[in-house]
Amino acid sequence: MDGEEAQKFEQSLLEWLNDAYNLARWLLRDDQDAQDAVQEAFVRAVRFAGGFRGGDRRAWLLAIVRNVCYTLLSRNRAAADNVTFDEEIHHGSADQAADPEAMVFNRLDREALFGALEALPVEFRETIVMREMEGLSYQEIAGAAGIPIGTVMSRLARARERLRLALRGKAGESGKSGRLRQIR
Amino acid sequence: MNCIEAKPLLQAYLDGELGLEMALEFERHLEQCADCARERAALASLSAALGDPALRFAAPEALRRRVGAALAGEAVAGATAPAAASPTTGGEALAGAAATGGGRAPQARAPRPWRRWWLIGGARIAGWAVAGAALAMLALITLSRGPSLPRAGGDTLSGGGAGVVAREVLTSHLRSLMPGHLMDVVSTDQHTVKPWFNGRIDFSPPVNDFAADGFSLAGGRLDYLDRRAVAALVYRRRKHIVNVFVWPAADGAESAVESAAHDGYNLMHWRRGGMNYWIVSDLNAQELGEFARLLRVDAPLPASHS
Repeated sequence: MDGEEAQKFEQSLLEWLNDAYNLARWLLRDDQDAQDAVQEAFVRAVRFAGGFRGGDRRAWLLAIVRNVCYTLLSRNRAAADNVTFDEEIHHGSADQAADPEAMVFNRLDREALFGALEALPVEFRETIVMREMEGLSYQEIAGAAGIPIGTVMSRLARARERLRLALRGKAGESGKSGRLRQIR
Repeated sequence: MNCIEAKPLLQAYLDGELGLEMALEFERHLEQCADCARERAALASLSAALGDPALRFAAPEALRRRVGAALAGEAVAGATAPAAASPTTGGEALAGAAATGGGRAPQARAPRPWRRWWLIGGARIAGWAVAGAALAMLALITLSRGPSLPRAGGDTLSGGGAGVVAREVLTSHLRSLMPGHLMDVVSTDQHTVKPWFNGRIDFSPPVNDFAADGFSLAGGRLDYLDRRAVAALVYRRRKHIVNVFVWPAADGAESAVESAAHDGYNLMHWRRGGMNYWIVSDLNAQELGEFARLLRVDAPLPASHS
């Protein structure tokens, strides 16, 4: 890779900074850890750019992010549970309301979903975040997590089941403020 | 497909991981099964909720600066030291880089092979990749069960193995059944459909309406088969759709009708009048055979044979 190519490659990586941070933040549940992980992952991505062969570069980058996160998690599990509560929840685009199926969940608050997602065991959380938020294919998730596709599918199914159960449970108790977390 | 077969496919269906053929089969089941349809709606609404941008974390500006600076530092270091991973190690180096976490060199751990898994679906990639994956899936399904399709494909089967064109034909047929894909020119009038192909392909396909015989012309479209643009004519028989693919044969050889059944679809192929013909439908073999006879009678014979 010559200089110009390398620069282009770095630029393309930076386009996915938000995706990388989102994944790291959901896996580590901590802003500072997530930032450290993303920086480490980007340095690795550039250093090992020669190892990239075909496929989706974004999926490749996210696989590196995921693995750096796992190393951090195993190094300091306790720290990952330090989550600060905040006052305000960021509101997303309103055009989602146009989708009748989405409206079912708009009635439940996002807070409940956020909490349920954050409470998932990390192996379920990573599959659901990679699939639903980052749009990775089963194959890409399997590659990133080093598990067979069958395991990806069963984890997704169980994660979704847990989320649905959690939301059903929380649908009753509404409007508890103070458990809202800030989403940047 | 019944519920017991459908249930395990639901998630893969929603995730866009089912092969085209199975997805279509699954959709047919959804139309009849309120239980599965409800389950689908619930999972889809969960997906929609999870896709809410408000649940995403955006990278802080400070991180952007940090990473930018780190990469700039890396570029300087990279200019003086050789790349750590050689390109020849390919996917293994990638997996190695990904598998080793903080601080360890990639060589420190055995690289994890980049696995190729085909379970029940193709890749979830946009555009042509979807068609490619569907085709690959179809090829797998075709190879793994049922009677094999005839080898009597187009003229360019060299090295392609048996039934390559047959599989393409079936895939094209299935794709054409997806909403909005069936026809480019909609007309029951052969004098509208036939000229429509002028300037779009380099041959003139025979176009006839057989409404009197129960096969009414519905329209046509351009398709791509056997590595070339072909004419696809669409006929209706009651509720069934029949696709007729026509393109010039490389040599003038005639051939009798060969037929094959696959996954509930019937395919027939012959060569006549310098053209390759493929017809495919979920219509029963007997009626499709009748249609083949109509087309053959009507097809122009090459000058030397008439």
